[in-house]
Amino acid sequence: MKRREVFSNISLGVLGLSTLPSWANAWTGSKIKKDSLGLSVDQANLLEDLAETIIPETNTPGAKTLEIAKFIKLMVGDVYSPEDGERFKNAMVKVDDVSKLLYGKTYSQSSKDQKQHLLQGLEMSSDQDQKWFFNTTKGLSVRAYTTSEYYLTNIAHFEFAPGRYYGCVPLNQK
Amino acid sequence: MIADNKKKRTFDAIVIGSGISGGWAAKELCEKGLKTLVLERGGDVKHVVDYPTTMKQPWEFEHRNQLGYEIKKENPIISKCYAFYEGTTQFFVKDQEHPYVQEKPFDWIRGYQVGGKSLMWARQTQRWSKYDFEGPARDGFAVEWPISYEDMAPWYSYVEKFAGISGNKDGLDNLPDGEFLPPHEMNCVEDYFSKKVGEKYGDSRHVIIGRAAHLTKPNQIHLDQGRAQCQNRTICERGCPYGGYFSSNASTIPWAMRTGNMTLRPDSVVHSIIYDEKLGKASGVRVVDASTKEMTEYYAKIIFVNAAAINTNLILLNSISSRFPNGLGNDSGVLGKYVAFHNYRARVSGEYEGFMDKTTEGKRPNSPYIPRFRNVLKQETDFLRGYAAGFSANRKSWNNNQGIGETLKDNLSKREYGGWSVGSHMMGETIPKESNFVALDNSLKDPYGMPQLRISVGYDDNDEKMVKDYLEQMTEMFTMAGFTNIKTNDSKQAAGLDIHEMGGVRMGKDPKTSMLNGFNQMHACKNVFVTDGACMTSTSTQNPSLTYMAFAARAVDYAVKEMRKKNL
Repeated sequence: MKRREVFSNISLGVLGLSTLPSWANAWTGSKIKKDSLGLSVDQANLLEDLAETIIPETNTPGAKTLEIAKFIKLMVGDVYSPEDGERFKNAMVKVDDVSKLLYGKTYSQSSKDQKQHLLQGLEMSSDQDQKWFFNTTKGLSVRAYTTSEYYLTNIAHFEFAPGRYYGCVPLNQK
Repeated sequence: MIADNKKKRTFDAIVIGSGISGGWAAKELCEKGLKTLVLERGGDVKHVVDYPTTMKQPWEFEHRNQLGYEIKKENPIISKCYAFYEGTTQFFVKDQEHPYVQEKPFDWIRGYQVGGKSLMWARQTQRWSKYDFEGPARDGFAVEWPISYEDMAPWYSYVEKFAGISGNKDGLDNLPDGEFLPPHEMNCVEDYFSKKVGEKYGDSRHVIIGRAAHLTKPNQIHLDQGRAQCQNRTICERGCPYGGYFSSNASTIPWAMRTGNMTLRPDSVVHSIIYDEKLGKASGVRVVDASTKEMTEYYAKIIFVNAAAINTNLILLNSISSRFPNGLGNDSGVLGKYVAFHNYRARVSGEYEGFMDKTTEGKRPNSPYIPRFRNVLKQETDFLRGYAAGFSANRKSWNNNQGIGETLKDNLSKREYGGWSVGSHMMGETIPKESNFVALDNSLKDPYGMPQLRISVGYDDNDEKMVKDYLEQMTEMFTMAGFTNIKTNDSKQAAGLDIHEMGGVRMGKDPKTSMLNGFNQMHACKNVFVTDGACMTSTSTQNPSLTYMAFAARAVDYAVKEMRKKNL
């Protein structure tokens, strides 16, 4: 029973993120399990490269640090239908074909500009599967990024327990 | 094995169910000194420690709270419920765990655990008014309520003080004020809409802040329960470690436990109530152990049935004796019939371009409410009764997600703002009818050996007219307020998804046409009381839980007085 700890932390009536009880933070962030999408090692690497192209590491964390490719695999594998899972994998495999055609090398071997350029091509592709693949991968990357601990804490200033609601405040106060 | 004996299985009172009304019955019985057995068909959920996701941050949910493909496929019914997501799956009954037959589409949303659905409820708590209790008699449907608002008012006060209900004293005849904790704020656009509606419709229509079971400012009685101020997290359905909203788990169950008079037995599926032909009353209940499937009998002088509306019907229908071959207390033949619910099908949305320099800050576990304005004082439309409505406004904002790479990352660090979105949903009264019923299936059994229920509950022409009227009236109100891009929607959702199913064991003055008297006491079996949604003669438009709480406390008060007078 950790009840007392919970209450001792809210004696001031307002509970901020910093005062969450220690037991609440037992989750370590590395609990993501199996790969239900069933990607090969090469495919998994390709997905990591794609995610990194969309959300790169800069002076702030990007796809590699935030394990965005893991999230994409998990979502497509667990939440999407098996049909969409297949569609995703089939379209992903073709990324290397396109890359070889355009640059004579695999996606991973391409330069940063080439990688970006290829994705922009997919976005505007008349091939519905390729376009869907791009939109799905970008959408999930954005979702992973904007719901990551890094983003929510440092950029969105997310408050878990605000303890207040004000109905009419100046917009610039935020 | 420990020697069992009848004495150990005998109590002063038995309460079937530990949800919002069972918790209240348990608390009241225990406080009055009765040794009380509380039977809960689901597992135990202890306050704080059994809320596994309550402290999880958004990024700690593997699928960011989205349901997996498999769980959705296996659970088409429960997956429709707005409160069922990755962080709450543990609190909802999966479709296959308790099958039933849908003669008409009916989404039966259930929570089998200590606390029942009080863990995940929407916490809106409005009193009924005299216009609601007088409805059936005035409009000639169902049967007359055997009680009036005056009978209920002190009991509303009683339960409000303990549960903690926030609200504004609006002084409305058709939505009486209660014992309120400070109200939540309306935001700029909600306040504006409220004023515009006031200007246009005078005293006939009102937009007020919702009355909700949240401790906006706890009183001593709430602190005594071990509860603390609501922290505005708005993730209530995962269970609240602060007890910021009312639930059986945070409030009535631990309070009852503290008296030393309560025995709580989870995993106990009540099969039926035992009727003693010689004594002419109920003597106890038959319980199927949820894991071993073994049956045990428990005995008591009085029995409170609070299994949640439809399961209360199931238990009574399954309580067969030579005196009651059609279900306990069912001399009238109305048991299982006149089931009704709330019509939540219609929504209206729009936009507002005012207050562009304003926004909101923090979070609010509540929203404004529009009390019923149709047919309140007299019949004035081509349909009976009316609807209440929810209303809320939100400043639209989003992340710029243009581009890829560093451009995208840079864009995502900027918050962009649009105008305000506004939305409303209806909560319509449905008229109880004999043709809306639940009944036992002749052959199909559930996993506990109980007959499966056939549920035959649906909409009628009155409901269709009401949907149309709500959409017209709300569109008119939105237009009048200068909202734009107004869109209407009729989801056609099945009955049941409102989670306000009521009736089947209705109260009434006449034993020939009702099951319970004005104290929720069974006409034909005096030591059985039903104070959950099953007792409802009509549904009106209020969220019903507060009324069940008041019924439970009032019925216990009566039952214990009757016991002491040796009438039970």
